[in-house]
Amino acid sequence: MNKQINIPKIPHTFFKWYCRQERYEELHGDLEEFFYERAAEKGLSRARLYYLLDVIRCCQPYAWKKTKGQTNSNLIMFRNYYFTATRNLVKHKNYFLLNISGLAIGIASFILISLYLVNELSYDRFHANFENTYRVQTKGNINGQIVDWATSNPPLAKTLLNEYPETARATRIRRSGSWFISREDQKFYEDGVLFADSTFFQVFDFKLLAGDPKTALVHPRSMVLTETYARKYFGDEDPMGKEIAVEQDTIFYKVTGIAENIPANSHIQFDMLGSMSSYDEWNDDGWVDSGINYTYVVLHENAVIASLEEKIQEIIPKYIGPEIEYYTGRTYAEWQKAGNSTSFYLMPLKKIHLQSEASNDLGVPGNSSYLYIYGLVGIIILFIAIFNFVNLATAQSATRAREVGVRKVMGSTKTALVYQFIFESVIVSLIATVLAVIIVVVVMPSFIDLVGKELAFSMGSSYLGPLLIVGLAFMVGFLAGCYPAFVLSTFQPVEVLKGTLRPGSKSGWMRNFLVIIQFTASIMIITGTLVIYHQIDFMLTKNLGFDKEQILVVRKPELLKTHLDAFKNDLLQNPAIKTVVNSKTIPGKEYAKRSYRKQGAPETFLFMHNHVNFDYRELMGLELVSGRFFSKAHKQDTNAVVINVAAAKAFGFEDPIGQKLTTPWKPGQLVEIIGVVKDYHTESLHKRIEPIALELIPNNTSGYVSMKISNGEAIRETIAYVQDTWSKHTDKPFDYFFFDEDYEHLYRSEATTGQIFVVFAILSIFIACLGLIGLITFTASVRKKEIGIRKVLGAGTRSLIRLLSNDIVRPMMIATLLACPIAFLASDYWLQNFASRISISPWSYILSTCIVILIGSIAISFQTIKATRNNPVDSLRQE
Amino acid sequence: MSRIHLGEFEEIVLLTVGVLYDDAYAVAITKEITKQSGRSVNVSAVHKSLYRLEKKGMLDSRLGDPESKRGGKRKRLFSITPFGKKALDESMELRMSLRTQIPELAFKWQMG
Repeated sequence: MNKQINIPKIPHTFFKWYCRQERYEELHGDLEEFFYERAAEKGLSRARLYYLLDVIRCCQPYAWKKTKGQTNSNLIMFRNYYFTATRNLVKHKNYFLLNISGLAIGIASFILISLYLVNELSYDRFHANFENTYRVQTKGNINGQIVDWATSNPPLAKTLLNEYPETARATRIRRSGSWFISREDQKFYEDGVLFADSTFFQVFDFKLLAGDPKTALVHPRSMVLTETYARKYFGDEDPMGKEIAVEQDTIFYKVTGIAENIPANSHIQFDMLGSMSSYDEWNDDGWVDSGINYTYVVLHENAVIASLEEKIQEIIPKYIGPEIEYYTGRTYAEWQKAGNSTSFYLMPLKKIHLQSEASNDLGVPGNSSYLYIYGLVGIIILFIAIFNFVNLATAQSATRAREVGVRKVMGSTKTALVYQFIFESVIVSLIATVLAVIIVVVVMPSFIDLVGKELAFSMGSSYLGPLLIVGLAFMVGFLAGCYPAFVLSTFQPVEVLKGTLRPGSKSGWMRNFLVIIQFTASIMIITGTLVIYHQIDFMLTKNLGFDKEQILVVRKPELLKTHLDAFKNDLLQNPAIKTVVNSKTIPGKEYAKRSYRKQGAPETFLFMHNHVNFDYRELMGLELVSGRFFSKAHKQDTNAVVINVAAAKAFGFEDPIGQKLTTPWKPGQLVEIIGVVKDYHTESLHKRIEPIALELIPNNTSGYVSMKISNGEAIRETIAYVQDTWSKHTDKPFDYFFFDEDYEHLYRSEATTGQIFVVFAILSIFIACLGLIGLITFTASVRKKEIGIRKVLGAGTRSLIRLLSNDIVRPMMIATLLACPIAFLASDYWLQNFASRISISPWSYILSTCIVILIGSIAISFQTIKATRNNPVDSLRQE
Repeated sequence: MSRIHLGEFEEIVLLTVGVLYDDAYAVAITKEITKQSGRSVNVSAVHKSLYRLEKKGMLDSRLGDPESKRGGKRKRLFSITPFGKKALDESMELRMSLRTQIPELAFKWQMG
């Protein structure tokens, strides 16, 4: 830990402020003694929190500065304000409840969203050297394709360390798919397995509970487990030094360390970390490598990033050039002349989560534009709640008018009255905040479900948390209180006491204005929700060029070894299973890339590559444009390739069928194009369709077995049948998924955003309606006598409803007019994230407007109808 | 009967000051009470009682030496005054005398 143990500043200042001079030394000495002790025992953040609590607890008369006469009378006035406030709140219980619940929900939403934002913004900042840590990423233009990869070549780390003195430390991380891990009868596929150099723990500050960070990853076949995974495989035993089997029971790794569970705000997430030295081929000097390898460096503090970035480009011609020559048959200069380029750049560790747009990233990258949207939604909801308060307070002003008049007559100044009313609203907001904190604690688990990720912070994880929440309460109280305070304190005592002031007449325009803003914001949020849902629906139902329904996919058929064909044949025995195909990959999963060159032509093309079996076209429902697909009838199909239209276009072929290609993967042989299929999406709709090359699958290639199963209720039995067949041929675990469900995972972040929007859209409209109910109830009660007289004179219920709701329906109409253009611009901006997007239909606006007006009318209708149905005798007999 | 009033917590603090004799300052007293009684005590509660007892004249105090574990600040060391001892004794006496006055019969609960 680099952090120094310092007394937290803000509480300390507060302590100094209230504590009397002559007792400061002894009292604060006591607090400091406790603080240092707790910091050593329970950690800094806990100590800070306790310190804050101590400072608050010590805020008692024995420690206070001796008060002079002046402040004493102030204190008495505050006591008076407090009593007036509480009496007033109790007297108007209903308004108070409306206010409090609106504010509490608003503040709770704001706190939750803030916690989420803080989590996103705090990524990777817990490493001591995070300011100087960078990841070397690769950018370039390879055969007309712009590439931006988070990965870099494996020997880069070593080269940087040896040849560039700016580099203080370097480490590599390698991801290599899922691994089959077992120990005794615990057998699982683990996706969270990473491999790293022995310097890993010198670059990153993941804490080890056991084991030596310097040596844990030095030896081949060493493994560091996280706390949870140590328990998963070893239970209560001490795993240190014990063995764990990796892949096929053939390789044993020794457990050399136990790491604390990885914080949620780390972009590097692992459950198991193996030593990079375990596999020789990961450590040879080959620069061109198809694996997924990340290079992280810690630079010296005085390193100049821009000049280092420029300098490391030398590496490319020096080391990578010769290998390019080997693979493409062209010199580096020729390769460059053809428009190709590649370069390294440094991505600061702290920016990786939100700003790296590189593909192949280690973690699920965040999206900074969503953060702005969330932040905006949080603030909007908070303000909708604040406006409620302002509206109700000003509407109610008449009930306080006489009090203001009397106070003024008794000699109160305007400032004192402003203080009084702000003090009142701060009391309300403090109560609301307490409720909000309870709400946050209660709904936290559901919120974590909603956003789909753990949060690294809670309200009490730093002493700043409670402090900020109290600050928030004061701020909300102040914002909500200052306008009503201003209105109330300007009342003229003569006017008020004579009784000529019409209740709620002042500041009517302000109320209308605030209602307009509230509803504009609600309509915007609802429109946003609808647009997001339309886009997600569009992405899931759009014709992707292939069929993804009713396909069951089994992982890792290579475990079957020679039984693969028997397994497939057995499956086909079941009438519910129609087609069975094994392939290297499927859409939505990672594709390898392979380069092809027209026979005799200089330029190479890099295509997405897949190995497939004969029935792949039938299974996926791919459409042939010309030529034919692979077929058992043609023996030469092992040297054939099927491409898509995009690939044919890239080559510029008039008639692609029969064209011969060369590829470095099949040296000395020619590959013939036998067919062209229609373009189909292999990735999410965020991305454009890429050129694809399909080749026939060689025996026993890793990948997936996909099968079309017939529609029906017997899906469960079919799965059971597949599993039985699997276990007949191997004792390895069976792992399957449904293709369509898996593909939907690509839109997880959109789906999450959609759900979050729905929740907050409901909340915003709910809070706004609370305000409406309050307003209409108040209007009705004020105009009780008027309604009575109108009724006596023969007004019908309908005209009375119109009279009462007029004030509220008009601002709502204006709000819809305002909201449409703003919502259009906002959703258009969001939709630019997608390569294929919906056009925004006017129905979204009409629908959201209708929803808002409908809900608003329902909210006010109960009160208006109640008011109009009162017996006029009751309202007129009042006096 | 004298009119010296001593609250329950005040009495415990006063006793602990005596127990710690030479090193009776707020932090040590807080810890000692926590250790001996097992109840969680906050340092500000101890502060409050100490100052009140000093005001009543049952405690005397002086400043100690600066210590690094307290950020170079001095601590206020308390000691019992004769009046404090008198208050303690009277309180104990009162309790003992009341205790001995409870008839044995009051402790004979009828079972069943």
